Amino acid sequence: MSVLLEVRGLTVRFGGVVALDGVDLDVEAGSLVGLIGPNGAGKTTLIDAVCGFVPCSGTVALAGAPLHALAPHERARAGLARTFQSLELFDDLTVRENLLVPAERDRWWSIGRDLVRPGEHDEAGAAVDQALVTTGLVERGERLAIELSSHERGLVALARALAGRPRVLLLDEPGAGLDDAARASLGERLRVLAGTGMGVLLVDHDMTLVLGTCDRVTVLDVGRVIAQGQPEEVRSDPAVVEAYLGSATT
Amino acid sequence: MVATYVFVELRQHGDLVLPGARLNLGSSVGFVPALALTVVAATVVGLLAQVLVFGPLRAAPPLARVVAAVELMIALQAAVVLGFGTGPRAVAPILPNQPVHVLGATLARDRLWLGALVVVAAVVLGAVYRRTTFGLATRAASESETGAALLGWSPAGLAAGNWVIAAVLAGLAGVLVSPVTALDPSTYTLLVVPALAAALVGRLTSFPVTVAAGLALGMTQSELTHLAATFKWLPRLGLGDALPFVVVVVAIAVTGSRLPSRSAAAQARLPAAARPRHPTRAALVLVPAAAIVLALVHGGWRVALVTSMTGAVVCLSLVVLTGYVGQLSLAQMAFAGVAGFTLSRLAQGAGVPFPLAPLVAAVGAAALGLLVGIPALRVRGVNLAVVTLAAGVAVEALVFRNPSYTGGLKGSVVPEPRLFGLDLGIRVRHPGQYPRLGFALLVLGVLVLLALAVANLRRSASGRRMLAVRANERAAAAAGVDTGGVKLLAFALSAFLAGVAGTLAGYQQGRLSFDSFGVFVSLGFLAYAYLGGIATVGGALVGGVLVGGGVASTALDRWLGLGRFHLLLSGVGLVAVALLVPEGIAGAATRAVKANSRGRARTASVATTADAAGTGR
Ligand SMILES: Nc1ncnc2c1ncn2[C@@H]1O[C@H](COP(=O)(O)OP(=O)(O)OP(=O)(O)O)[C@@H](O)[C@H]1O
Ligand SMILES: [Mg+2]
Repeated sequence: MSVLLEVRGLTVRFGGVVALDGVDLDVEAGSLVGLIGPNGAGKTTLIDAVCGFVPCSGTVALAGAPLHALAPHERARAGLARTFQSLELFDDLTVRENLLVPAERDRWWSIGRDLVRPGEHDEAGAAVDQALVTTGLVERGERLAIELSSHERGLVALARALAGRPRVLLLDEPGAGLDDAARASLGERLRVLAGTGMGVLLVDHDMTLVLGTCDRVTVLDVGRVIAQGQPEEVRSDPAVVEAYLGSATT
Repeated sequence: MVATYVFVELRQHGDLVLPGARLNLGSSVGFVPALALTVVAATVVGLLAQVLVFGPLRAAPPLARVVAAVELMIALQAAVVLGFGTGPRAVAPILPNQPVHVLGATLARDRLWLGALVVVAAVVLGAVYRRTTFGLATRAASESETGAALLGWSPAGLAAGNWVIAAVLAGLAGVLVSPVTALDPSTYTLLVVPALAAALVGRLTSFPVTVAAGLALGMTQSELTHLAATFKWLPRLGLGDALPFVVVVVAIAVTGSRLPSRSAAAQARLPAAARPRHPTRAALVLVPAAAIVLALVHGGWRVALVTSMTGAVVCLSLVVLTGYVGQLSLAQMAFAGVAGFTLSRLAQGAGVPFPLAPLVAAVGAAALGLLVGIPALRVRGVNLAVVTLAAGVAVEALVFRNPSYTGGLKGSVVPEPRLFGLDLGIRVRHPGQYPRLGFALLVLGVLVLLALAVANLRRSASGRRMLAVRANERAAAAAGVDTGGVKLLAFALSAFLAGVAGTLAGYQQGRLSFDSFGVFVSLGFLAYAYLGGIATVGGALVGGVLVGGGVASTALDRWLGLGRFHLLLSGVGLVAVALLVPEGIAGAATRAVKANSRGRARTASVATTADAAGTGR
């Protein structure tokens, strides 16, 4: 499988705190990679750094092209989509409008056309429809994002990431606040997405979800990779048991 | 400022001025009792500000609070004008002001006293906020109100205490500098610009940095006046007034970041930007109606309608910038003015014909908008308001007050617009028919085109990107939106719209003078736009009705004889709207109509109700 997202020696410092310390990580096309670690391990910081939201050292490449010179929105257009731990939906837009934002291309002449002939253009509508179907939100399209239940809001966040037709999807705790059944169906959705050739990085606290659905798992603790490999290898790794499982599964 | 006036009245006439009454306490009150009463007055004003305005607005979006602060400033200024008149007052010296010689320069002693007092005040304040429980609690509350409340501190009480301190300090400062500067309402209100600039340099947290910045700013300002007199190639006026803008921009360039950080507190939502469903259909109904009304009314009422339509265009410019993208601008009139004076130069000076000259002028305004928008890439919210306010003051000082650009007291002539031999001007050859219907229809046409464009924008991809930036900058960037580009686009578009309004005002007045485009006019428009509804085209139209000289103020004047109180009333109205109906008057009206029809539908059948709920947004 070809490597879509390649992270090497990623280091992030906040003042004196080293939040990430030389992290290496690969996400291949068509694979579902898990990233776990205790609170404050640096999982969100890793997504922030890959997407250009925090300054970092080390290299990040998408399908072989280095990203370090690109602003966050340029990385998004290059095919990198993410969700946020706290969702960060566009609350006063409808679900459909939320999804249209990443789906519509911004060209220099867009504004001229939009002042005269508004509406949906390009193939954006099709991408949005597909994302709504994938996440089961078709019925909710015209509702304001803020009116939905927290479960549905989580799905909107996922759908918005999908609507930009990304090559790599970075998900920050999409399972938070879901019940077991919803988490299981989320896992199946993610497997289907990976099956379409997308690279998916799944950050979550839920061991059952991550170890049960991912192809490979990386474990972070205090900014360092302490284990990497097949779910069953990771599960039995003594360092992991010490740092994470020991405390989380009590 | 209010405090200063209270003090001066006491000293000069022995009058204690209360709202609506004057108490004569003898011919002239001594210094100490006068100062004591002044402190009391400042305390009362500060407390009232917190209790009546900012306390209730604690949970409102920052935009509402900025607008309320602006409005409070306008209302207080209007109250001062009503109570004391606009003329400057000379004030007898308070501090000893014999000349002293320092390092070979001659200085009035009171300047040194002032400097020393300010430093002492900063040291005392620093100690208060660092050492006392009150200070610690205040700083805790500014980090987290809930946290402070859990520890048993009332955020409202703390805010009130701080308001009183701020009001008393500002009042005392006003009293002390009154002999040095002339006391008049607009100068005093504008003293807030360099003060805010210094506060921004201190990042709104550091007393010493703020004081140092303030002193340096003040000294540089007077030095610039001196330099401008020495070096002929420098603009003779306005450099000093423009300086705060430069300072603020540099401070921001050093400290600001392009995207808010992860921990940035979630802000309360702005008024909803409802999607217009059938703008073209609405226009088809409204335009003929408006044309008929314009044809039926004459004289003053037609002038009022024209003024309202031009005002609505300014409000539209704020809908794009503030309503759609969430960026604050207190400099809209600077854009309008630049376009107005450019138009005069193009049309009168260079003979550029009608539709071209105003277009080019508005494009020029858009270019200025881009320039003012650049700092907006790195600041947000209240700080952006300060930047644009400083920019507005700078443009006013450097450009509008410069007689060689704007023709000084005589003003700049704007020739009548004509198109294909058709006279679209406002003036008539026979007296009695002013203003001409042709001009009124021209303004209506321009307003309709622009309103439709802004309504279309809301329904388009560009508009969605704008609202995405308004809702959440980080998420917008993650969705591939170039947040900086969107902001610049909005600034340019908004300045273009304001510029069009400026050219219309130019045609209406025939002779433009700089005071039509002062900073206070900008502040007023922000208030009217917010009152009407900052995030919708309908709101902009209502805002236009409310503007000074527009339909509402004319009605107020003619029917109730309350024209003088227009400014004061709009200030009070704004606070009420910000508190009660954040969507503005237009939004509240739409909601009421919808609730009404939904209620009727419910009695008819349950199915229709569900339908109305589904589409009725
Ligand atoms: N903006 C910031 N400034 C300073 N320190 C930060 C900042 N953002 C994160 N940190 C620190 O970096 C470390 C990693 O945080 P991060 O949020 O990435 O952890 P996480 O693995 O996502 O945790 P969680 O499971 O709680 O979401 C923490 O110690 C955190 O305090
Ligand atoms: Mg996290």
